[in-house]
Formats: sequence, structure tokens, C-alpha cells
Amino acid sequence: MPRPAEYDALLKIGSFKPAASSPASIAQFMRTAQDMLTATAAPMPDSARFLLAYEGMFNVVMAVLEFHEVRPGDAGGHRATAIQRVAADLQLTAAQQSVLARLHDMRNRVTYRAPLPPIGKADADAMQAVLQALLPAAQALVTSP
Amino acid sequence: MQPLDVLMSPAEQRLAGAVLLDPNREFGTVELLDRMGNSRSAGSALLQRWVDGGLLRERRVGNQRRLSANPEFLLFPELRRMALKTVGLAQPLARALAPLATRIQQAFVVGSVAQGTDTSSSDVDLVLVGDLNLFDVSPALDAAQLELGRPIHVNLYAPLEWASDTDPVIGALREGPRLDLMEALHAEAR
Repeated sequence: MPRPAEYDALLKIGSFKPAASSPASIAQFMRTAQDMLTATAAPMPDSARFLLAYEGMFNVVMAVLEFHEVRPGDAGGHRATAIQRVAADLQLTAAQQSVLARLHDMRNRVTYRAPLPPIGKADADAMQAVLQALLPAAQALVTSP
Repeated sequence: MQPLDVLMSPAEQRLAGAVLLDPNREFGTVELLDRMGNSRSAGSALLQRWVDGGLLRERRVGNQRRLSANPEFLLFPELRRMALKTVGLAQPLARALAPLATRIQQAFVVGSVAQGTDTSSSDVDLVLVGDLNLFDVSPALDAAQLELGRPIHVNLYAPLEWASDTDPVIGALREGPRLDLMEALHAEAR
């Protein structure tokens, strides 16, 4: 399946780099994402549930990128670009894409800048819901011929 | 009627909202006239009055006039606070949140903006209490973020969470300085 033109445009400007694609590696990214989603059902603090769902989301993003034979570039900001690109390609709704961008920023803020105010239940619920929406869409893509 | 209506004309309010929040930002005359939405002559007269009175600083670059708020003006801190509570911040946020007003019990800004220590690049830290989820709130705030030109971080709490006596962060948010948005929100939702 040819990759969307946007990926080539992002390769040209250095947001993405070329990467080898391996079905086993893509399947492992997807398995890890599913494992993380399953794990979020267990009782745990909201911050832990958020971070699990966030990492699950990023495994989905990596699976899709590898399927298209690219990976995020090394400079700052390319992770956000990758997340936005994949969210759009997997046809998340506008509200889901808005929430995902906000939650990615929140993850960076609490990780690198300021832990207060901390991640709350609404953030964890939303991150979990986004991962739930991404997984089947990504699965359909990466198993397509 | 909005609170600033008793003190300022609509054009003055729009000018205050544009210039007072960030005294480091310079504006061209045309940009400010466009924002005021007045007739050119009335707008120019208003700008000149604020320059003559010392609330606006003027700098010439070639034949262009660059205008910015003057933080040395005697009433600048009070006027900036008034603009924040109304046209500069509270009203854009309230406008964005108005469709969700019936589900919001409390809405306020905390952090550096509420403390009065923010800069032009400071984030806006918003707290909402109510029956809300991020899928409704986030797209609404994206528009306000564009309008304000500052990132908006939002923390949502359900009423029960907010009532918790055991969470120290919620306690600190409850007790700390805040810029309340409920009056502006009710006005926008009417």
C-alpha cells in the first residue's frame, strides 16, 4: 500500500526519517499497545493510567510509522508531528485529535516542566478513550494488503 | 451589559484587551484601528488620547508608528487587571466555554496569570469543575488559544473530586489566587 503523500513531505523537511519496515516489529508495537490498554483496566492512580495509555498510544503511532517505512526525526517537536499525522490518517474525529494534541502537551509539561497541577481522572479517561479509538483503526491499516 | 461597559466605550475595551496584557508587544496603527473596529478618525483620536495621557508608548520606525502599553503608567497594574478580568482574558475564555455553561459549576484561572506575575508567553492555567469531559472542552479551548495567542492548560474536576478534603493539590487550588470566570461565563451564555 503506497503511503500518503504527507509522509513524503515530512521526510523532505526532516520531520520523519526513512526506516526499515518489519511485520514482526509492527506486530510487536501493536501487541504492546494492546497490552497497555488492557493494563489500564486495572485499579491504579490516574497518573499511572494516563502514562500507560499515552505509551500505548505512542506504540500505535510507531506501528503506523513503521508500516509506512518512516520514523520520527531526532529534533524536538517531531514526536508531536508524528502523533498528529497518524491521528489524522487513522481518522480520529476533530475532537479526538484536539484532545490528543492537548494530552501530548500535558505529558511533556508534567514530565519535563512542572508536575503541578497533576494529571487527573478526566485526563486519564480521555487518554484511555483515544487509545481505544486508535487501536482498531491502526490494526485495520497495518494488516491491510 | 459587561462590567467594563460602565467605564469604557466598546472601542476602548477592544484597545485595552489588545494592548494591556502584554506591554512588550508593539502594534502598528492600522492593526489597532482594525481591532477597535471604529471609524478611522475616531480610532486615531482615541489612540492619540492614550498616547498623550501616557498609557500608550509610541516609537517611530521610519515613517511607521509602533504603539505599546506603558507599564510605567500610574494605573497600568489596575487597568491590566481589569482587562484580564474582562476583555483580555475572561471574555474570550467565557465565549469559548459558553456552549458548555450549563455543565460548568466553577471556572477560574490559577497560576501566574491569577498571581499577576505572568508574561506574554505564560501559559493560561484554567480549572473547570462540572460535568465535563475533555472531548467537549478541548476543541472549545483551541479557538480561545488562537484568539489569545497563549497556550491554555485545562484541569477538569468532577464536583465530587473537587469536594475532596484529602487531595492537597485541590486544596491548594481552592485556596490560592484565582481569576474567576463565572460572571463572564453567565454573561456570555445569556
